Amino acid sequence: MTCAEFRELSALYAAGGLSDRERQEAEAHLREPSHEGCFEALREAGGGLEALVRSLPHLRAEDRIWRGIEARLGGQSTRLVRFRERAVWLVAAAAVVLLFFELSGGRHRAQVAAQAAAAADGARAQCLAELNSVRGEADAQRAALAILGSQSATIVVFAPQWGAPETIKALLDLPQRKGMILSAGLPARAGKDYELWVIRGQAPPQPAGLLRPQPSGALLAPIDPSLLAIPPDALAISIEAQGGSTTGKPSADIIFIGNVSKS
Amino acid sequence: MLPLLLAVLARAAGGDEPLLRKIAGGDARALRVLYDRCASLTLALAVRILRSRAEAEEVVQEAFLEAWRSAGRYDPRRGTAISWILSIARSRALDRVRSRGAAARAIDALGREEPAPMPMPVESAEARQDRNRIRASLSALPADQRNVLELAYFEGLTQTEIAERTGTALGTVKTRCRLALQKLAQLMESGR
Repeated sequence: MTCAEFRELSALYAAGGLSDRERQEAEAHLREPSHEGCFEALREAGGGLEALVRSLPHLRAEDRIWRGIEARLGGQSTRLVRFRERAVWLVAAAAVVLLFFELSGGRHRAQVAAQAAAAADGARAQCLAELNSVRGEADAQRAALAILGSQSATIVVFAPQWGAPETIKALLDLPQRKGMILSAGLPARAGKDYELWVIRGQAPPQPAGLLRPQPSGALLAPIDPSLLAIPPDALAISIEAQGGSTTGKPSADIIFIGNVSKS
Repeated sequence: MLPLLLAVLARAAGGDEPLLRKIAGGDARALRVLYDRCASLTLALAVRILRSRAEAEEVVQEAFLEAWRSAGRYDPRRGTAISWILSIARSRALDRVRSRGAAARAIDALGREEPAPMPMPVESAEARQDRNRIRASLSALPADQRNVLELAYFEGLTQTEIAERTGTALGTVKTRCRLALQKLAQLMESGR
């Protein structure tokens, strides 16, 4: 597709009036490195559509819509922002300390300043580590929400095998080879690890990684996509010595089993 | 001119890109800013397509959650954040219409749950004037241009389907759509 051809189609592309094949061709064209007015035409068409929508009867978006969005976002966003604010404040506080010692002078000024700088570096490093950890959680939560939003999502509820009160679920999108293990109250066990297993037919269980809940009991862990290439019949969780089974099969009791529906 | 003023302020603050970057970084307050800027329009669009307030509200939620997840993929060269959100919501709303099936579509055609405009305590006189001005210009568009645009954007028909339904050539459909959007875009620009 040439730029002239794209510009000709840009209005229909923006308005969603192209067939799948035509749209793919247009998108492939937009990925090309140089253009002659293609994006300008697209922006113009977008402005026209915005005007079209602005002509519709005004409807007030009630607060419940935003509350629904917040509820589905969970706490991930605000926590991330809080950590960022903490990082900014800690770095600012460290800067004030440094400035104070710089201005007050004295025999140990250089030594104290070096200590303050080291403290600031330590605080910064700690904040970055915390921030990275929260970002990882946020990514995991987004991945889980994406699975839940998929039309092919299935939820596997694990059945506790000997009265364990915890509830664990697996969110699976098998056509997309995506899966997450989710629990709100799986207690961490000193010196032990939970290990996930994939079960297919009569074959021996296949190890699928360790599950390490947070101190609060919250657990959100991805399942290796390669293990979902062939849909499993069931998923199981065992308690193993720290580091997981060394034999490649569950060395201790299976405490949770979840059957995977393939319908 | 309030909605347009907000757009101008956004432009003065460096456009939508910084806002979308914040959202991509996990800042829910930035998402709220985007929501305040676009939610009413998004809802109006979803109601127009779905003709169901309840479903439209779900679509608005889905659109903003999608924006939250994919803000990193927003490309400012392609259009404003409002255009981007509207395209997400339109796509979600049309997916729902298509999944309803033929019977429901027949009910839709009869005007299922025709949306009554809500009371408008938050719409300023200026915003109302803006809308009336755009409406007047829209009604001044030739009927065949407006029809092509509405069939594509609100009904989700492709250019081939529009050509078949209206008995016109494909090239004519393209031209009508382009001319209609050009005129409306000029209208938006003149209001800014």
